[in-house]
Amino acid sequence: MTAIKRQDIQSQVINTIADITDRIPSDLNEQTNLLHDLDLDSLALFEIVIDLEAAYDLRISDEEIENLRTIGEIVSFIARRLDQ
Amino acid sequence: MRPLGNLMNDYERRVNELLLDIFDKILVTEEKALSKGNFSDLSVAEMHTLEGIGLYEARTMSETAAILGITTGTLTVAIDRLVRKNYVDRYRDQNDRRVVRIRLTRKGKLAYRMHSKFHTLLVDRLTEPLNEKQRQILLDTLLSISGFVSEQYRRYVTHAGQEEQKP
Repeated sequence: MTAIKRQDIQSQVINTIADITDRIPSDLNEQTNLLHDLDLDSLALFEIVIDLEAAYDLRISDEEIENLRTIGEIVSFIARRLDQ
Repeated sequence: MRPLGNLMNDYERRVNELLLDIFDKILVTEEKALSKGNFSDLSVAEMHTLEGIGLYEARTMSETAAILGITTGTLTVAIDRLVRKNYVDRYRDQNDRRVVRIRLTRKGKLAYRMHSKFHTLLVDRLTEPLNEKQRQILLDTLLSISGFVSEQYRRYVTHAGQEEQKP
């Protein structure tokens, strides 16, 4: 995975989350915690997952979602899956 | 106490009451969770139709009807409603225009995932206090109950089918 590609994924993830949580993208970064910083409920979390699945043609299980706590972890997860 | 319980011994009565109570309460809880949640315009039956379609699949009507164990006519009525409510997308297959496919919309996927979470929480809460051995016993017992009930169901369906064929 090249640095540029990770940057693209990061940008897509941040824009998706900003859109759904009604936040400004520049307020979000890889350290942003979904639960503690954004106070995401299940509905918002699933909206993000569904939009990212569609954007990258992925399937993300509930078990995998449970392990994704920060934006950085989502970015790394997608990057890993795209590399497979 | 349920009237039928009068004819049973204590153990039979307790097992019978517990089984019916669990069955009733899961159904009612499922209904309440739906009606008070974000998808209050969906019935439990409609939610199960979404489950039959699947989260990622683009199934034909007959495939979905077979999964749900209903006729394509019954499914068509249900799908008409779900399309109107924007939970299901119905479209013609690109390779074969005669084939109509259905898939969940974004809203349908959201409802599916939220409903799935409800069931996951139900199972998690139920099995949380159990150790590995107890979990296995629970699973084995449920498999046995499910097998028995399915067998009874098949017998009644077959019997009903035979009766329908009578002049």
